[in-house]
Amino acid sequence: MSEGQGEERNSGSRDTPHTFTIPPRSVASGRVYRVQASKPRATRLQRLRNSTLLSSAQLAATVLTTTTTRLWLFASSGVGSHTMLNVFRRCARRLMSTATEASSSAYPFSKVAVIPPPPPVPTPEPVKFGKGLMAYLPQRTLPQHKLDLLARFNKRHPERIMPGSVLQVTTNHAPSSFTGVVLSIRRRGADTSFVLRNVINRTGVEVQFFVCSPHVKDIKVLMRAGGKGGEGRVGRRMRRAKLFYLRDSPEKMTAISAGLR
Amino acid sequence: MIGLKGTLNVIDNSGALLIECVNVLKQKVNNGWGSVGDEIVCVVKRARPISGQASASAAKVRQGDVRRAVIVRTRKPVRRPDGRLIRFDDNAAVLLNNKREMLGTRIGGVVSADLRMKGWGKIVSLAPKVV
Repeated sequence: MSEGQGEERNSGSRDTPHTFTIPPRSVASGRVYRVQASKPRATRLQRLRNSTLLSSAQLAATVLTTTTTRLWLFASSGVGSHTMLNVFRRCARRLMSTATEASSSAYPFSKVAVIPPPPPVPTPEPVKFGKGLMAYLPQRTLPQHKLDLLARFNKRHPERIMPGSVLQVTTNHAPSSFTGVVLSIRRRGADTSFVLRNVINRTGVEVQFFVCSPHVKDIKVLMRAGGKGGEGRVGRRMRRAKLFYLRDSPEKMTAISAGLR
Repeated sequence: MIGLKGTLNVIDNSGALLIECVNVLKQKVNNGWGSVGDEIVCVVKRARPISGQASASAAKVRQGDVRRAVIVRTRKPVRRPDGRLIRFDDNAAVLLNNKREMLGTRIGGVVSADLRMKGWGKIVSLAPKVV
């Protein structure tokens, strides 16, 4: 060891005692390789971190598997939960500690050369506003006449269909039409449906129609329950959203049908 | 959903008024729930009083007879292929003999259109109204 080399070694003494950088004239490409000489044996976590490019999730998984095996050993040995908690604390501290060196990829052709890590790229901002998928699906997939029909079941439409109205639904196949009082409207976007009740041959019949079904051809309002404008005659405004009490009172049903005639 | 002890109205002119289900005849299952279009074994609980000798329809059932019947209306909603749900206000049936032929000659009341899909076209054609 000549003095010149000793001086160069002393100049690198500001680094940690176990690493020194190769002098510039010996580097051909201009990259700086840090040579690690006589490094102490890294702990298991540090070796995991430095050896491969593990993602943080994989790292957590390996840590968890080690802790679970340790926990199992602890449990089988009959030690209390205090020790398990300490194990967790130690692992959490190691995972979150920044004192160890930053992750750097190893140079595959030399054990002692190390490539410094690339500069960190800022993570993109998450999309924190906007509607989800279900709000756009009906608009993109349903035909326009179905969307117009759906719009009439909205709560804000000026000519909205309200419970207590009398509707006539025409379908593509038999039975081709069904008339009845709207008992309830179930608003679920594309899955919106309503229940019509009618009394046929002294028997009450209720049919639940789905608005966006391709079998439903047309919905005609024969009598609307209150409201400002729209087709059909004006009937009484109902004070309830679900008129299931009509099932038990045939006199109210006859009153509605009498208002229609 | 008609099962053991479920009562049904009879809507044909066979003479029975109220029947009680004893067994649901479905393939591969001895018990279970019957819906529109299913055949059941039933006991006649209430029947019309049979008037003496000359009766218009030959087959008149009495109270206590064990017969077969097909369910034509249920209170439980039944789903159609396009997603519609049909629900009636009562359970109703039409009496049959062992060869799946109707005992009565006329039907008085609404029947469900699901009968057509299950192969009871004769009953559907006789019914005054099919929904």
